Amino acid sequence: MRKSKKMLSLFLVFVMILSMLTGCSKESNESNKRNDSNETNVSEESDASKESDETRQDEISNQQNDLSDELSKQEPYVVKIAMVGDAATDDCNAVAEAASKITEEKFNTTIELVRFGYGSYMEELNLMLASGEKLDLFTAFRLSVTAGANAGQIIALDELLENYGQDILADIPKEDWKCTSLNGSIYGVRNNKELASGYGIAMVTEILETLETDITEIKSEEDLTALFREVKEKYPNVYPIVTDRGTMEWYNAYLDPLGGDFGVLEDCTTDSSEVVNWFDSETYKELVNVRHSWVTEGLMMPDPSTNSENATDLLAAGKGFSFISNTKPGIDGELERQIGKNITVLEITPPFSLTESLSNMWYIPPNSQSPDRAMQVLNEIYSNPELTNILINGLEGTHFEVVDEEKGIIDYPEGVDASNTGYSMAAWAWPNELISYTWTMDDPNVWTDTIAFNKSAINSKGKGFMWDSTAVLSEVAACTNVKAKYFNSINTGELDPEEAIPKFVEELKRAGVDTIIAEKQRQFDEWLDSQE
Amino acid sequence: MVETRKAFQVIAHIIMIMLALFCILPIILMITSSFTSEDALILNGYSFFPSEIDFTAYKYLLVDSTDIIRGYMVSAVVTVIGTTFNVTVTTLFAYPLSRKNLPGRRFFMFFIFFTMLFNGGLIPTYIMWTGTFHIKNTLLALILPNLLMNAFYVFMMRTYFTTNIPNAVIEATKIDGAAEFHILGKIVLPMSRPIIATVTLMAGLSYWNDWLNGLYYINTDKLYSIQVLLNKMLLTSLFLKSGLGKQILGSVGETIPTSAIKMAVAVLGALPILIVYPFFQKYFVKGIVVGAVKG
Amino acid sequence: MNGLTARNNGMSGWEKRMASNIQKLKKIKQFIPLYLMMLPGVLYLIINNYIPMAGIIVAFKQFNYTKGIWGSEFIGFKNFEFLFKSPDSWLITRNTICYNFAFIVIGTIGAIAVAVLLDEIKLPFAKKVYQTIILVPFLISIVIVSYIVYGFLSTETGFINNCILKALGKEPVSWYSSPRYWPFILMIVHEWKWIGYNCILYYATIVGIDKGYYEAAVIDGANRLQKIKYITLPALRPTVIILTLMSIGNIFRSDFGLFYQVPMNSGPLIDVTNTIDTYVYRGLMENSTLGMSSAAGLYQSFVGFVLVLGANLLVRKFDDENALF
Repeated sequence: MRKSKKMLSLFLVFVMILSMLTGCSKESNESNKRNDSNETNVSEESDASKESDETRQDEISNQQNDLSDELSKQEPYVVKIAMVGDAATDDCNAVAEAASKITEEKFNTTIELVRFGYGSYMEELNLMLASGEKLDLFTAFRLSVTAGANAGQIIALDELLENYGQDILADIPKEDWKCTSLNGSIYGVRNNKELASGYGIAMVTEILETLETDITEIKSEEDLTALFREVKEKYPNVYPIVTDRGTMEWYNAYLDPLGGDFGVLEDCTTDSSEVVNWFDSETYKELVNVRHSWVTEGLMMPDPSTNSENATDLLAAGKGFSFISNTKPGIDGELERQIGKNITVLEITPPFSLTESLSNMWYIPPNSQSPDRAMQVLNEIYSNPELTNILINGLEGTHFEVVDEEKGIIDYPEGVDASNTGYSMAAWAWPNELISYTWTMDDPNVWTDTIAFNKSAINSKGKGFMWDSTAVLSEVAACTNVKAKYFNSINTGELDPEEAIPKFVEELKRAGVDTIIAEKQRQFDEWLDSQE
Repeated sequence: MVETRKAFQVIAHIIMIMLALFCILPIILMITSSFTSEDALILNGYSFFPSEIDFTAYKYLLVDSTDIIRGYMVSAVVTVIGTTFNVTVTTLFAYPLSRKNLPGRRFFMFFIFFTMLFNGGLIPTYIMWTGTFHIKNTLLALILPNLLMNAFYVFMMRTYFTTNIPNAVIEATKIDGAAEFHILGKIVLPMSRPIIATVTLMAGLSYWNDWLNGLYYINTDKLYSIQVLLNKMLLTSLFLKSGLGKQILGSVGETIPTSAIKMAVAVLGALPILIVYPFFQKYFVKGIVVGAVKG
Repeated sequence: MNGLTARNNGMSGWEKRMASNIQKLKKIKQFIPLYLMMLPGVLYLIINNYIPMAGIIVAFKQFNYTKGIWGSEFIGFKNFEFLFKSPDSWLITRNTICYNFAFIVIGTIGAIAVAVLLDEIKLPFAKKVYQTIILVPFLISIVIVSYIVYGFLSTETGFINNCILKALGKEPVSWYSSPRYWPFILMIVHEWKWIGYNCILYYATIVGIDKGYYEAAVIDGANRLQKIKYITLPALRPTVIILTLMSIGNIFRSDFGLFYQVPMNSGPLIDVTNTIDTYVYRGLMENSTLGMSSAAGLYQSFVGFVLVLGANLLVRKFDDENALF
């Protein structure tokens, strides 16, 4: 009974959105079409119940109209947004101006946009937060919910979402809300993008095609050894596998780091709730033993942990054949763009979703003089393709050109490319990239593929668990320093695991890793109990 | 006599040449790699004799040269103004400290030394300058915070004054009834050219090389100095290559500066100083012989 | 003297005090111009350094951005725990002190030697050229320096392995995995970067020495070495003392770029290159709390301060003029 009532209200909200968008906005045809193609999954179901709810629908859309009337008559206000990725100041201002046209009409609110470079985003943001400067909305980027909420850098959003964030509430499922809440209050709105990750291996297609080993048989990292041996035989000057700047931190395993800082679920697809030391686990030993065998057989590049090049650069220069990669829709395209060659990504570990998979979200800081407005604008960005396209991609004509109206595909205008555009694109950092244009270099279906990808992902047992490290910060600092000494060397197979792992684990114990794990287990059990 | 003098000269030259080579060879490596192609860099590493020469780094930087030129101008203006103020304030502070009979001398020395060690941190200083003085996004933000006065320079100057300006000279002028400002301007400063040149040089370098003020206090690209541009680029590329950055690397509509570009910007950042430095060196000339003192 | 005359004149106690106060005022009056000179500096230091210093209190608080510096909860020394609780605590302290000690000693000797040599060289053109060239490394940011070092030390393509060792017929060394070379490597890199800058001050001091002393020495039959030993070096003593005292103040600090970027953050090298600053950075990277990083900074400042006070007292005993304060 409860379930069907929930479904009903969900359909009604979708219907409301549709009517609101067609009724109240001045959108062009293409954004309508984007909406339609986006909601193909739900539209069939909503059609069925549409007729029976017509009268209710009218009532609700009337209410919506009243609300939007009210909103457009508010006092003028400026919502200041902080975003990552360097961009020229003039271009930011122009983009903000164009975006403001939409928000001014709806909420009498102007948008101001500042963008900080990746390398210094957190410092510059922290300065703004600490000095009480004007700031209304910002993207989380390296600020976790627990850290932010505990330090008072972000405010609770429950009431705001209720009042002004209906579109957001409708679109985000309950498990996802758990991942951005603390102590029962929601603190962040997670971005709509790929929300899970799989792992596998990225290979240079050209070389792969000349090999005989059957890659469909590959189900684990160990199975890769035969493939690498063949590469070494046929191409003696190419390293079968390379590291990425000395790291190889992705594993083909169902590992859930449970918020980081040591203490993990070894296989989060099982029902086990035991928090263990990953570096002391069997799975880890097996993985790095295989990798070590690659090193001893000469299949891994020399000095893997001190290599300072990107794996993509090594493949581009023809020095390497493959590297361990994550998988998501469009990963081939992304890698090809960086490498400049055809790349085949073979998935070895199917996608699974953790709390951490929802790593990008938006917050409202206590600095905001009007969190109401901030939420109104956020809701609008999340649900309005026209607005989000301006913010993500910039101005039509200056920063992009529409290549295919119907499918909503865009490209750089003549003379502009990634290195000289004044407004760099960071679609993943905005609230909802799934309703925006796709670029020619991407697969035109990448957004629908993403939705399917997210749906197909296995949810970890620990998804929704929020780790609070406040009680063990000293131990974390000590253990992190120990980890730095061994992590890359063991991961890349450079050190012999038989000798190195016991030393590593011993040092971790002395640094207090068991205290951290005990604390995490305690918090995890508590959380599991509260879920029942 | 002449033989040993010459021999010594030769030895001195040899040592200095070796030192100069030691200093310059890595720089030459940096310069050659700034016009080596990226592929050659990855395949062969940095080399004194690049296999593939390629000026894309410089093209990339100088074609869209408005940024670089504006960066130079901002750096130049800030350095000149800042250095002038710094040297002035430093000299005015150091001279009284060099007068041994000044009451409270030790207190003032402690006053300034304490600031070398203890620091409230970035945030309170930031709040002071932006909240109370509102200098954010102005040129003053590149001049005032932290760089205007440096305890190190004050102590260096004070030491120079006490060592090289004989007290007798000062006493003599005072007996003639001269005011302190007069003494400072007409007697002490002319004898202190080397130290003033030194402090000017050091203060100038600290302003020229500074990028933290630009990073924290400026976010309009109209006021980015050349070092801020360089370091932003370096920070971005360092980040995008790190663990977290890798996950977003593909979806970022940004290119990572190649190694060649980084080297090229380093060259561009250092070049102006090398051009200006020789002009300073004429001040490091042997001082006046104050014959009257040692009888 | 004053008291004697006053007594003799039969003045009252109050009058005596007034008389001496007036004497003091007259005395101070002559110093007013000097105090005025110091005024801009004092004002600046108050604004830029002393008022913001109140922020040190964050080291003792659980900083909450909403509550601000004053409203945040006071937690005593809890933020300092992570510096002492780790098994690496002694190691990082030892590393920091040892490197700094080496830098001070070698840096000073090297800079003085170069300054003296530069002064002895007759050709003005050569002087200028040498001085300019040795300053260039100072101008290069440490991050770029780390790339250059990699260009020399990378195992496969580095200059040392590829050209020098190969030519000598030796096996390539995996530099970034061999901790024992790194104290030397870091010292070489540090000297490379700083010698040109450090020698400027000594050179300027030498240049300022009254030529009369040298001429008198020549008349007395002194040779070059003796001139250096008895005139030049003593003239440099105040500078050396001041610079050393200031370096002692910073003995718990380190150049982050040198100890983190140059070794490329390579695991095996960490025990040899981990200083207090890099430890704090690595430890707090994922969980940066303002309180803990403030605490680390305060700890470094405090230790340096105590050491300088001690060193300064020592200097005052032997050479009062040249003490810091």
